[in-house]
Amino acid sequence: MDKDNTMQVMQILPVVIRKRFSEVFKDLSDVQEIRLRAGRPVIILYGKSEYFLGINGGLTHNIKKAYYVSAAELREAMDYISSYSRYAFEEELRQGYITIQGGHRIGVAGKIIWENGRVKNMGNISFMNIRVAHQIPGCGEKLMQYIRHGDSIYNTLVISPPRCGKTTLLRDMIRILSNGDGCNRGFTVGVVDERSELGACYRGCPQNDLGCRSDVLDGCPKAEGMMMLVRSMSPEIIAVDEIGSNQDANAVDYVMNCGIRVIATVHGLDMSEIRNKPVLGSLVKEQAFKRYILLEAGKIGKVGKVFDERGSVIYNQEYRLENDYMLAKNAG
Amino acid sequence: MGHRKGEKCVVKFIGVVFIISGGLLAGHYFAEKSLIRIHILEELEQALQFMYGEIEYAASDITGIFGSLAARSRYCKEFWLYMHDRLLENEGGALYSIWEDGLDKSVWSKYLLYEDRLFMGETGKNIGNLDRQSQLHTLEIFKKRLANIILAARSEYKARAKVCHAAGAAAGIFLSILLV
Repeated sequence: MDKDNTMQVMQILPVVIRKRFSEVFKDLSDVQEIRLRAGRPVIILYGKSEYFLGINGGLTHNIKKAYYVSAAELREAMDYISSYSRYAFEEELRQGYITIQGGHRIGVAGKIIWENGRVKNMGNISFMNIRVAHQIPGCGEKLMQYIRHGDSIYNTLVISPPRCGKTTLLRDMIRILSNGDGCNRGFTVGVVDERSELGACYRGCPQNDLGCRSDVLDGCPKAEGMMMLVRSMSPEIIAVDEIGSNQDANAVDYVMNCGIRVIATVHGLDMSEIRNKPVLGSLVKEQAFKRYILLEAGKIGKVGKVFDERGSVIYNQEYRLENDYMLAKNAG
Repeated sequence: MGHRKGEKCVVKFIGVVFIISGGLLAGHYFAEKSLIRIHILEELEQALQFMYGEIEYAASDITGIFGSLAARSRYCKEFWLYMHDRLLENEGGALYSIWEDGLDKSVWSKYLLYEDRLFMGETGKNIGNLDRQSQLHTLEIFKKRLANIILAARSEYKARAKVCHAAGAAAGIFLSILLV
């Protein structure tokens, strides 16, 4: 993680906590989460373990020696996160998270103001979860040979249970397809990023690398976003994360009928679960998708199998997404 | 001897001219000060309008708005730049306390009357920590108040300028009588 990225996270921490952090961490490459709760100790998910920020500095497992966050410090952090402009983040607060520069996502919780059956706003923010962004460039390289098809690609569906790395994989596949390489040209990729997870846009600019030919619709519902991209940006490929509803599946069908390739992800454990979904299932039965990438449950970043449109396994060697990244890092 | 008397009269005459000119200039200075106050208030009115538009149509954050205002302003440029730079530092402090610091450090704030200064202080306390609707509504109220202040300042200016010029000339004449 570069110095800029570390600074972006440090800058939103309250001044006192920031000083303690800078004494403990030179960079935040191994930090996954920082949790701030009013009246509770600062909790850091570092490596694969959980630590408290020590009241006298350093990290500790002893809660009695932990530094406790005050409500005033949370307000201070909120001022930094929102650039002193909460009015500018109303929509994000309704969603429960704010994305800051660098693609880091701050989840917030507090008192919900409910009106007319929907969340109007959030006040008294007393809980924050700072998720430090980590890209894994190169994790999708090995799968590209299975989805490329002549001068184009196959319509591809990534099937994965929650928190198994499908978004990370999709992000890298978008980047590779958009940039191209020595042997393959780059494609114009339209990305519908409803939850700002792929591009992590900050002020409209993707903070994650999605390639030089990608156009991103940030915060847009998937079905409308796909239609808008088809009409306005002439994409060759449309990428969309977590299609679930019938509207999403109908929009995917429409995009395919326009001659545009689709890469999408969906929640699921296996092919049979996808076949049973109402509209998406019919797309599977019609062999609209030509490639299915199945990530293994319970293991982050592990590709289980790759199927073709008939459900035949064309790739069954187990490997972890991170292996490609480490190989690329060591080689570079 | 007559020659010397003539020289003394010339010197006195030049002295009187200088003293009266000084009085007139002093009167002009105080009149101009009122005019500069009006220009500053008009610039602030434009700034509030700009802020309103940026928040309503672009939901821009206040730091960015201050940066844009610094590029657009003439009198208040240093204040907006100060606010933009201080907020970017994220070194603590509520927005209104940084705003007050900025006002204290600004050279142009000396042209403001006490009531203007109070108005500016109130404006700083009501920026950034409201929801969008309330923020726009609050800015609308402050814009109207500022418009009234400017109207009153403009109507006072002409009379005040005349008084300043007349007082300056009178003071110059009085001093020249005293000294000469």
